[in-house]
Parts: sequence; C-alpha cells; structure tokens
Amino acid sequence: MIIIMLTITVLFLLALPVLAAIGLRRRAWSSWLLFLVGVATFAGSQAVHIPLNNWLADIGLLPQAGSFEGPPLWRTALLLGLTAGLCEELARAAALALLRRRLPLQDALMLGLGHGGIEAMFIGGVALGASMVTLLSLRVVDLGSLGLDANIMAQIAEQMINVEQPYSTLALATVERCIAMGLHLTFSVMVWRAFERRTVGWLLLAIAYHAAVDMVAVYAGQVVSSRWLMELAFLVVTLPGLFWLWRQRGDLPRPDQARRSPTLRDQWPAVVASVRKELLQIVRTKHLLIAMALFLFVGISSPLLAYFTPLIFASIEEVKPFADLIPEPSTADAMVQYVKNLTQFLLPGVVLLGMGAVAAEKERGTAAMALSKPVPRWAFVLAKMATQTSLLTAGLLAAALCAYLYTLVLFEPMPVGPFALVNLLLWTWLLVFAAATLLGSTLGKSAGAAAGIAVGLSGALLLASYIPKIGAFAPSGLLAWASAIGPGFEGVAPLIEGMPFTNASALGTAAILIVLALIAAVGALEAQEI
Amino acid sequence: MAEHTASWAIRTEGLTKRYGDVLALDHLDLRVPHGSVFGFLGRNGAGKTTTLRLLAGLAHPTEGRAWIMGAEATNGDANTRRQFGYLPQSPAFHKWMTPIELLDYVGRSYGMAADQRRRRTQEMLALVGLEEAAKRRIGGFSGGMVQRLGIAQALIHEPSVLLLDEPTSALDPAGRHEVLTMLAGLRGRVTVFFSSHIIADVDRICDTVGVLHQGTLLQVTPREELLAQYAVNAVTLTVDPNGAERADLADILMAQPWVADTAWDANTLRVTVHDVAIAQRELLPLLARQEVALYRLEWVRPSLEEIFLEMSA
Repeated sequence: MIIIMLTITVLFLLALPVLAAIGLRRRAWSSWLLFLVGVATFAGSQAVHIPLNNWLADIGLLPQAGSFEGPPLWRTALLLGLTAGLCEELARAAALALLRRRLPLQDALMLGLGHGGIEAMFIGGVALGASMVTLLSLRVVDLGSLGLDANIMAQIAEQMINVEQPYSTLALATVERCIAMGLHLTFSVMVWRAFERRTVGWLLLAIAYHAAVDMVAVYAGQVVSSRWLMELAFLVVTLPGLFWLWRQRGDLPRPDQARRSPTLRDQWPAVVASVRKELLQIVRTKHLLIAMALFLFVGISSPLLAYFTPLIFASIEEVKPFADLIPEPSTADAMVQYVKNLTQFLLPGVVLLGMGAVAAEKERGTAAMALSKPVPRWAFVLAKMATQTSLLTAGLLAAALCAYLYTLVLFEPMPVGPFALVNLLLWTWLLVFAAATLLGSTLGKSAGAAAGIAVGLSGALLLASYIPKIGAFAPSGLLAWASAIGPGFEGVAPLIEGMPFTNASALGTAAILIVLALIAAVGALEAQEI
Repeated sequence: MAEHTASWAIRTEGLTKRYGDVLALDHLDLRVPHGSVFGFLGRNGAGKTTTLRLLAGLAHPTEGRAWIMGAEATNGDANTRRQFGYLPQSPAFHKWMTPIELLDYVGRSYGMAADQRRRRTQEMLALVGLEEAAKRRIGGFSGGMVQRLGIAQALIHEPSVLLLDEPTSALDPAGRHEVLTMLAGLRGRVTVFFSSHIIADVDRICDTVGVLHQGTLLQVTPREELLAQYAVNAVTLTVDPNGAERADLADILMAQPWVADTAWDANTLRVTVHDVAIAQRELLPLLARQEVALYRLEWVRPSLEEIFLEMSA
C-alpha cells in the first residue's frame, strides 16, 4: 500500500506542473518554450546558488551542508534565504531580459510554472521518491548490526519516522510543493512587473520576499518540532504573496478575447486520427517488422550466447588447458547477456527508427498537409511518441518472452519479478532515447540534420553518467540498477550490506527527461513554420 | 471583432511577413466576400504562397491578423482549421497510403462520422476522377493525380472556404479544364480563394481579382469592374473585304467629331473615339446609313493579362 501511495504521489508531483501549464494554456495561450525557459532559470540559478552556499560554508558564514551547528540560526536562515532569493530571481530577470520582448502575464506565469515545476519534479518527485525507496529498503536491514556512528544512526532514525508515517509524509510533501509552485508563480510575476513597469523595485521586492519565505522555512524547520506546524508557518508567510498573485488576474486577456487551447474533447478526433495513422504507418512501412526482428534477435540470442560462449571457448585448442577455469553458465549470465544485448543493439535501433519521425515529414511536405487540418501540433508530436512507445513495448515484451523461454530451456527459470523489473528499467531507458530522438527530429529541418541532433543528444545522455555527483541520476543509472537485479549479478555494490541496490533517482530523472524532451519537441514544433 | 470579421469569408488586417530582411508580405488588408471565387494574382515571389500559408496557420505572421469565417486563423488554433480546406502548391502525401486511406484519415482528423467519411470519400473520388485508382498506392501516382487527390482532401469535409495555391499548375489541359469547371461550380456555396500566375485560369472562373506585387496588394476589384476600369476608347469593325463602301469608311468616320483616330488592319478597322457614350449611340446608325456590310463590331477591352502586366510592371 505504501508503495502504491508513494507511486501515486511521485507521479502526481511529476505531472502537476505539466497539468498546471495545460490549464494555463486553456485560459490564455502561452508557449511551452517559456516553460523550458523557466526550467533553464532554475538550473542556471542552482549552478550559482549551490557553489555560492558551499563557499559561504567554507568561509564560515554558513554551517557545513546538512548541519546547523556553528553560526547563529537566524543568520544561517537569513543568508540561505538571501542567496536563494538573489540567485533565483536574478536568473528569472536575466531570462526576461534575454527574451527582449514585451511578454503578457500568461507568459510570466508559464515561466514560473517551468521554474517551480522542475523544482517540484526534482525535489517533490525524484528526491522524495528516492529517499522513501531507500528508507523502505532499510527496513529489511538490522541497523544495529552495522556498527554505524551514533550521529548517523540518529539521522537514520529521524528519517525512518517518515516511513513509519508515510501518508502524512506524502500528503505534507504534496501540499508543500503545491504552495512552493504558487510561490514561484508569485516571484515570476513580480519580476515580470519590474520589466513591464520598468522599475527595479519589483525585482528587489521579489528577492526580498523570496528571502523572507525561505528564511522562515529554514528557521521553522529547526525550531518547530511538528512538521504540520512547520508547513503552517510556511503557508502563513506565503499567503500574502498568493493573495497578491490572485489580484493580478485582471491582466490576463479577457476569456472571450484570449487565444486559448481548445478543449481536449474538441481535439480528440484529430488526436485519435493521428495515432491511428502513425500505427498504420509503422505496419505499412515495415518499421514494426524490422523492430520486432531486432527485439526477437536480442531475446533469443542472449540466452544462447550465454550458453554457447563458454562451450565455444572451451573447444578452442589453445584454451583447452584452462577449460576448468571457465565458469559454468547460469541464468544470471543469460540475464546479464540480455541486458548487454538490449542496450548495445537497441539504442542505435531506437535512434534510427525515430530520427525521421518529424523531420522527414517536414521535408516531404506531409507535415504541412496534416497540420493544415485541425491536428494540434502537440498531438502530431505525441502521436509519434505514443507509436514509438507501443513499438518498444511490443518489441520488449516479445524479446523478454523469448529470453525467458530460452533461459527456461537452457538454464534454471528466471525469477519473474526481478526479470519484470529489469525489463521495466530497460523500457524506461529506451524511452528516454526515443524521446530525445523525437526532439532531435523536431528540431532538425531535414532527416539528416535530425539524425545528427538525435545522435548528439543520445551521446550527451550517455556521457552524463560520467559527470561527478550528478552522474548517478543520469539514465545510465537505470542500467546499473537493472544489472544489480537477479541472482549472482555483478552489479553495483549496495550502500549497506543486505540492502538491495536501487536507483529510484535515475528512474525519476528519466521520467523528467522524457517529459522535458516532449515539452521541448511540442514547443519547438509550435514555434516552427511548416 | 468576430462578428465584424464574420461578414467576410476571409479577412486580413495588416498581415505582414518578414523573412529576415525580406518583406514577403506588407500589411495586407484583404476582404473576400462569401461565396465568391477569388483569384489572387501575382508574379512568382509576389507573396501569394506566403499569404496562403499564413491563412492556413502553417506560418506565423510578423504582424497583423487574419480571420476565416470569423475565426482567427493566425493564432494557431487548430479548431479554426475546420473552416477551410487547403491545397498547397506541391501537395505531398504518404506514399504508402491509398486514396481511400488518405481521405479516411483526413475525414477522421475533421471528426467526421464513419458513414459520412465513406460517403464523402466516394463522392470526392468521383469528383476528381480517381475512382479507378482508389486502392492504388499514392507513391505510383502522376503529378496530376496527386493534384486531384489534393483537391479531394481539401473538399472532403465540405468546408466553407477553399484555399488553393496554384491548383492547376501541375495539370494537363484536360485536367485543368475539369478542375476549373469544378471550382466554378462551387460558386455561391463555397468561397474559393485561389492563387495563380496563370491569368487565363483566373480570367475564366474568378468573379473577384486581387493583384499582389512584391508583397503589396495593388488592387481588389470584381473582375468585370477591373476590365471596365482598364477599358480603352476603341472599337473594332470587321467589314466585307470586297464591299464598295470600305474605301471611304475611314474618312467618313474621321469626319465625325467624336472620332479621334482610325487604322486599318486587313479588313478590320480600329476606331478610337473621344467619347464612348456618344460613339455607342452614333456609330451603328452611321454604319447603317452608309450600308456597310458589317461582319463584326467589338468594343476593345484589354485582357486580364494586359491589365496584370501593366499593374505589376
């Protein structure tokens, strides 16, 4: 039950910003690209904010990360608030200055949704999900037997309260993120007012208000023992801002004059027609056949390779004296081979199948024919992603079934649960690249250019796993997790002996990357001339 | 604004499109009446395709707005696209589809019910003469067949407005004749906005003509009014080459105060007059009195081509 509630909460927090943006576009149209600008302002601000706080800690003005010992609490709270306010609001101001055009209020709101949304996705979705999964995993471990430092034990015990009261933890996290998103809308509109009225006062007010809110949150977090009271303090300091934001709604265009997204009901026939056409296309252009052949090859060949490779080696004359050293192949070898083959063969396959999805249609002129009909551009992009997802799902199911049956015949049966989880992780990993390829295909003006962009994006995603500190969050973390599942797997060593290795952060990040790639693809196509 | 714009099938207000330094369309203010067949004339590069792409929502205006049947076409709203059918200059379809599959897909995009899609598909295939090729792959079609299929897909949902960009450019003379006859038959029921540089086509079926030159709209006028506006004060008389009166006809006419000049070309006499109204009243009685064996009398009007060339010179 906890797992289901956690999944629902995490999915809600991941979906909330996107749903809010869709709601905004229904009231007054704004570009998805501004959502991405908001994401960029968050990322840019944190690129300065985190090193700045670290430096302040190094020179003794702030306590070291994770601790509140040393400097007085009021000063710590003030400094943390100020650095957050300065970095985030100046990033927002820089973005609005770079856009160099007079934006309407709905664009400022969209920017705020992107900024607060990505924060909710990462802090609310990924971090909450990952920490809860880790804490749930810790429940199976006898902590007393680990000989950990008393401080660490105390911290773990404090954190375990969250697991013991999972519903209130999840509810509070959800409420907190909703309030924080509302605050980001307020800050965003304040900074927008500075540009709209050409007065720096609004920017200074945004910085000061952001600093005050964060200061109260930090202070309350340390002096108030009840988490409900802590959130109440946060809400109290937030309410004036939210009330002010509500009063700004008069600056939105009047509903009868605003450009708005049509309702989903109005657009549904065109959406269904687009998906149906895409599915028909992969059948008629033999893409389905090619993909299924590739998946089946991987599914069948993996257990066979695991079984025959030692035999082949043993039959080589020069190796015969060492034949006894070659280990007996096992189910685990078949699963390892399966993961390796899927990643090696199917990643190029996904890029090759998806790179022309949008670009080739633009190049040939069929996109213009489709988009002069009541087919929304988001539906044009999402129909392609839905088809790619269907293709990968069907292919992976076929590959998994073949791998399972061949392993059953050649070795011991694979454990169904872990094998299903391995496939789920591989499926998510492949979807990240499918979404990145679709983005490349949308950005490229020709299939060739799209291929280049798609390969570049895929390369960047693969290389991201080598970036210190954040590499573990990269999609490749899913492969590490997949490799760590199953009997006798040579995977990543668990943090604590006996605790199963997981990487929920990588799973959450993968989901966010898929969502952001699709938002970028839709935003780019909406801005393009066909 | 919607009520105001709804009184026209198509309306644009300051519609402007820039590509970098190139001004493709310059503050186009256009009003196309309901049910008319509107010919949008212009040389290559005049901005005709840009205008149609802006109306179809495929390009974004630099400035200005446009409405089709009162709904804004330049704001990216997919629902506005239900109002019109669009045929681009070079229509392109998925080669793996058959015409039946294509028309079914387009019908689904417009939210048409299954029985309506089936009926309209058959009607459209019959209209454009593609019944025989209904189940063949589009990949094997000729340019003319693709063009006809393009017209079928633009009309399948019975739109109020039809936007056609050079619809006859890829057709042979017979195909052109069929398509033009079909478009002329839509007059009164569908507003046809039809861009072309083939003046004969516009001359043949359009009741209103707009002339675009280097992104600027030079004139929008009913075709007859335009021809009358550019009419010259001249009449041609074709007479019996063996008639005895032929020798002194020019002198007799020159003696009239309302005649400015005469010139023979074989057995046709071109008479330029000072005052058309007097000439129209006096000329025939004069010829009758002189007992001229008259084969033909025609007041000279410039062709649409001559007017267009003069306007866009």
